[in-house]
Amino acid sequence: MIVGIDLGTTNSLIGYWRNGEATLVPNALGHFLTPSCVSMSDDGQILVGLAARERLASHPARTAAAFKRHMGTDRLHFLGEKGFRPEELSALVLRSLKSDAETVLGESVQEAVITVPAYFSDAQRKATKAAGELAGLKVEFLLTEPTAAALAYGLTGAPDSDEKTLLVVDLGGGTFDVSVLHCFEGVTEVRATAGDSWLGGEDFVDAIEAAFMAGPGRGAAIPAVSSGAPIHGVLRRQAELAKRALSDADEATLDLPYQDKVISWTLSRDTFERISEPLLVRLRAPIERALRDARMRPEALSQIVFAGGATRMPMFRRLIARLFQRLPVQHINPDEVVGRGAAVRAGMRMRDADLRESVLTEVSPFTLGIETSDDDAGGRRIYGLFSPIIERNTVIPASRSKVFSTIEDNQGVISVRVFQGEARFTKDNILLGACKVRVPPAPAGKESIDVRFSYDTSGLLEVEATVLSTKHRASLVIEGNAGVLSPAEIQKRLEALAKLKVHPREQAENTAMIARAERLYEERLGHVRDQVGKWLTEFLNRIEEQDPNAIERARAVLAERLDRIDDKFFL
Amino acid sequence: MWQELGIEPTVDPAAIRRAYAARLKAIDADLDPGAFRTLRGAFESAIARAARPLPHPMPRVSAEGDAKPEKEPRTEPLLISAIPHHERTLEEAESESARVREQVRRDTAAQKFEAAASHLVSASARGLLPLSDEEEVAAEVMTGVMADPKLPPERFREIAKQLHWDGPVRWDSTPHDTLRQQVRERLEAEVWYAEIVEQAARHNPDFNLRDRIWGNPWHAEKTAAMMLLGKAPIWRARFYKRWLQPMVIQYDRHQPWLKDRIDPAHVDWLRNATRPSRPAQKKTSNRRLVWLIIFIVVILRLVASALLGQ
Repeated sequence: MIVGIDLGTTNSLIGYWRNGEATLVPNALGHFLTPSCVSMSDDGQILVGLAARERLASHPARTAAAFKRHMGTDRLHFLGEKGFRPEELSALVLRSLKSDAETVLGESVQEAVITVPAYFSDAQRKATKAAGELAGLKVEFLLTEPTAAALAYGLTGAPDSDEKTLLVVDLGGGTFDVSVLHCFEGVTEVRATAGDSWLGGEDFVDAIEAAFMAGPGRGAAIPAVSSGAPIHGVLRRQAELAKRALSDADEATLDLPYQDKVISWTLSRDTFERISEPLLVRLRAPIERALRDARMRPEALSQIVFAGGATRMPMFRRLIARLFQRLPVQHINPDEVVGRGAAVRAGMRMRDADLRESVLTEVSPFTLGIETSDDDAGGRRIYGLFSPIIERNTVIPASRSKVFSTIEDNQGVISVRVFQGEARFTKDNILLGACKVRVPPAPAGKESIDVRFSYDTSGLLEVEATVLSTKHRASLVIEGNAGVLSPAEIQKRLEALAKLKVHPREQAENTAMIARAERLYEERLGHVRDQVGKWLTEFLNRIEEQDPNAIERARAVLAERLDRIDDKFFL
Repeated sequence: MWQELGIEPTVDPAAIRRAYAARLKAIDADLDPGAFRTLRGAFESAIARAARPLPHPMPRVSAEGDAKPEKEPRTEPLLISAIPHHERTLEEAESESARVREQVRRDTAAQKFEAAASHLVSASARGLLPLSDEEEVAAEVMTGVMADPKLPPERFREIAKQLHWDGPVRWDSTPHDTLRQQVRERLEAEVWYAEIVEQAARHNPDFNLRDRIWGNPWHAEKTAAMMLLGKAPIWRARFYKRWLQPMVIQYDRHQPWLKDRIDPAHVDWLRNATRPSRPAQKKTSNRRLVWLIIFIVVILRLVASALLGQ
């Protein structure tokens, strides 16, 4: 069984394809969405999902969230004293999803299709693949999120339907992607992709937080965000709630208990839109570029599709609706659409009979090339020029080659430095890797090498350089960069992760409930706080007694009580 | 190419796509990338050939480009339910976008380009203008900006950047490609001119006659730049030909934007001072040879006559 996984910045989902439809798998709590949060309990157990997210406010130092934003870097997130790489934290989330799927399917799950933002770089994709391996999954395919959304809508052009051109706008928790897709005769072809890997719903929360800190926060002398004070866990949650509330209401109130009093701040929708304006401006460039690369005018699009929870924001929808003078398609829950699409792709991968007639082709999101030097009109040599080999938005799998020659007399070595990016000079692009090719000594320009780039369907790159005169070959495996784990390291970390005690799945509901009560205890003051404390003790006592039926009853009672004081529950 | 696709040569993109789709389903791109690449190559060249007589590779674009697109989505009930109740109505939105346009136009007419640009950017950030209209309005602002040659380069660059008009123009995506190209050229010209001014102003204390004659590149660039700006005597052009020639070529490319900053008469001077040098040299050497022969003949004559005379 191949499963489809949406490994998101805020939430993750797992689904599979069976009997002609995509089905999502609920987690131990019965939710489709598992928050991408990992926390370590005081006794060293790993908590994943909602329980971990509740602990974000109460135990910020032992909890990690939004680590997808640091995929492909060496940055460590600390759960207590122990540092984890983003891949490892993602692997813990993937593992929890995997065990959910195994429970539902009743069989072991070994292979998966995982989604990545279309604009993820080579390092970020490799890190995602490594995360899958760390979770004990063979990553069959990395699917780009906007394409997944189109698949979920079934907008893949059934053989008898008209051809269509879609624009998929995916504003997730941490990333923004735009893809132009062309569907005809059962073929879904990605025409162009553009995006911003550092723009998402979390940035809008940041904006609210910053506005709060500049306003009432300064008056109350709350320590700066960078200080990592626990109060910011609470503030962030309040900001998130306000952002969600503003999708329906005209204003929202942030209540922050601080030093025995509650700081209340009302944020109107207009203010929110004003403080978010710099973010909205950043949304435009990728949209324009995707259209330009696809050689499309906005009028020629047949449909606009939304994916990602942040597309619920009215200002975003208004922006898109006005830009294209039409309303987007949005009847699947935008949080789930990518997960469903991943399940469809998993079905295609299994060559399911229902999907045999659909084919999907993707493009390379970046231009890939090598560093060269050239002489300018004045006879001076310019170094560090970027020479593209695979242009962005080339349909993959693709293989392109170019011939380069030596620039100095008796040059013994040609250094092939591989870059990704769009800038003219390599210093502004991202270095992916380098290798050296030996060439026989000869006058400048006499010896040449053929550099071939092969880009596979998962967006992973192979480079091969051949000396034309000697047929000597050098191939480059792009590894060993900052942020990319080597196979040996993956093995080592796999063993380390296996040693971690993961919180048992059967207790997930209890743990989530305790974490929620603890969070409420921290958030509230006075009378309510005492009450929550009392309820929590009662519940903990019930758990000690180890009678499953009694625990279940007590949990239902506690849930109802907590719901009464905490109406702002969200997934 | 046609064999690969399994069809007769055609210019109908739909037929090509149909053939491609049929073949594509028979192969697995993940397992056999080679086969996919061959097929893809055939498809792309077939489509490119089919598209050649048309300005757009996709016939839909040219066919429906003029149609009003708003009507289509409004007929879909699903989409209507997607509008939250607090959204602006269409009339409101239309009057809002008209207001924005009016404001931008007024600012442009009053040559308050920055105000116009920031107004436009903030309006489009809030979604008050459709993408296609926005290009129109931005083009109006840029037309105004381009019509003002006295606008300081920093301001010009800033406005172009604000409107995202400083990026490269690719394909035939907008009706304002020519204008965009002109803006790009002007931006390049500004960068080049700034470089020239910077070179001319470069402090360069230690140079001597040898540098001058053998061409220390730093000094040469500086002097060449100064000559172009009319700040160094023209006779030096003979030493700095090598540096001047590319500069003059660059000037020619950017001439429309630099006319009021670099005196064209001056450039003509430089061109005359640099260009004819090589043929002239050849001529002098020829002439020298002729003179030499005449001289020898005369000497021989003299010697002969002297000998004969005696």
